[in-house]
Amino acid sequence: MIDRGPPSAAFTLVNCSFPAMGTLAEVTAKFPVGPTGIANPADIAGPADTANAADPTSSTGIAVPPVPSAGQLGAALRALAEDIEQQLSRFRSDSDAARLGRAAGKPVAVGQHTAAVVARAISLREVTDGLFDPAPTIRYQRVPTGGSLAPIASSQTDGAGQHPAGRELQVMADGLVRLAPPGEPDFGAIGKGYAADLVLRACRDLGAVAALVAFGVSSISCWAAQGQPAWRIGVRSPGSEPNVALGVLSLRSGAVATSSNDEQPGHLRDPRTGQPVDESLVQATVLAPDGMTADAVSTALMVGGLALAVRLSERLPQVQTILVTPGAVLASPSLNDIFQVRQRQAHQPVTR
Amino acid sequence: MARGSAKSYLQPGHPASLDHVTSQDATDKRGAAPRSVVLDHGLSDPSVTPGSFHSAHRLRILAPLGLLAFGVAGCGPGAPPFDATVPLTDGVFVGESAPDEQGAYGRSTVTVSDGRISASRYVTVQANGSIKAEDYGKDSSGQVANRSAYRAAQKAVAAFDVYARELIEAGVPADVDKVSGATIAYGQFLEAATAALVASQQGQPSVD
Repeated sequence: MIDRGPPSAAFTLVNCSFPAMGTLAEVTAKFPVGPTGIANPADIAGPADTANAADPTSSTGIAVPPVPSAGQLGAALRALAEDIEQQLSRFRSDSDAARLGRAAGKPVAVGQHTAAVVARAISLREVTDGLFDPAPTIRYQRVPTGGSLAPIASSQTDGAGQHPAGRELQVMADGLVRLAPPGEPDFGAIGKGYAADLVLRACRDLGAVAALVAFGVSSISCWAAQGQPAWRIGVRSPGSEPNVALGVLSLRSGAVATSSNDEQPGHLRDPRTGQPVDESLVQATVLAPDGMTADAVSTALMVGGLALAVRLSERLPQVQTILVTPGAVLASPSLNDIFQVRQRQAHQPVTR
Repeated sequence: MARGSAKSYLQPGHPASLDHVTSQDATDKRGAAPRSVVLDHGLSDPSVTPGSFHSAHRLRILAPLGLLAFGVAGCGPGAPPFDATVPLTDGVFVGESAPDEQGAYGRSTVTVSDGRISASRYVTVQANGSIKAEDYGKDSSGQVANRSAYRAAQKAVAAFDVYARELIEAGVPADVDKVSGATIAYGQFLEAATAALVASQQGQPSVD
């Protein structure tokens, strides 16, 4: 745990983690305590206390003591994550994602989480020129030997060998969602970022003055109120195992996502062609106002490389990037004040 | 739970504190001299050496009340969230992670003696039941078809022993709150080790 000085009687950190969305979600939330000192969570009435009815302003709808224990916080946030996964997961037969796949092009009524993710996914697909695509035309099957992925052959090409940019995905006027066949959408790339943001908001609703949420190894969202220290988020040095940070971001709010090709070389594929991407970028770290944007852009950059990064710098000025190429680390100029590079000799930061 | 001078690394100015974060020598990709604090947990194994720099994903077991505790929840559907203030029970406990896209999962075996982690082993089990070792990263005929992929795979295998040793050390400090882009291998280790510790808390040894 980062050293933020001696334990304070004014605040307490609560850490919890729970399985969610096929990974481990980890939450660190900072809560203020009363004037009497550090509250003992065991002495605080739990959710069973009917007098402490659910706060209607809380996004979780679950009553939690002012300073929850790790168990209480974990249970509340896990319920929220479960609700999100129930709608988005393509591995659950009753999820919205699965029903969209079975509907084969017919409109489907979906829940609030699916609606939000679909709307955002459509805009992100457009702004990334289809390099992020939750519903690509090309689907993949597992190769029996080796376990690698291979595109399923399709006769749909544009003559140049590239497939049309994704299957049609639309939100209709009545709020129904329609996805052109075949197959279900894959919200995995942005679902964790979406969940991290909502869990973060839930922590704030529960009274936290700072919170850091991570879903798996890729999606991080954080926030710190005025007067609270910024969170320090390391950016892994590609190829380092055990993990080493090439630099550290000091972040008060926002989302961070990192995509890289070094742990599983060749696993990233161009959704337009189904082929493995070229390796102009070793790793892409994206800092964005929200988790879905960070997730989608980091994925798209590994496919589109530096050329896409330049285009996105104009289309998405609120998004900042740290790109690792075989010979250099490139960072958005606006990161100069908050990104501390560690490996100065091997990779000199070059602003663009 | 581990006891000892855990308080020391919470003091400002300690080598492990934020104030002492410095740029690392990039010629050593694993970072500068390891910064770690080994708690006085009664383990007298001279082969255990401090690990290299790590992220705040690391588990840590804190005993003295009043210190910041890193609590992690048990894994698996319906598993109750983990409370770090609940002590560990003695025995040998096994925890497993969820499988990755290739069906491989992590398995952590933790030995608890006198309420402290005294031994730890971590392996990744592939979908066919074999353990990732020197053949991990080779193709089905046992050949290295993709050299870069093989190197990446073997690097992950080499890291497993480090992760296992760090679990014993507990309290190895980190100077960041989280690492973006941490490897899947490390994520699986974390998940498996968490499950093993939950089993210890629940008094469910895997080996009597």
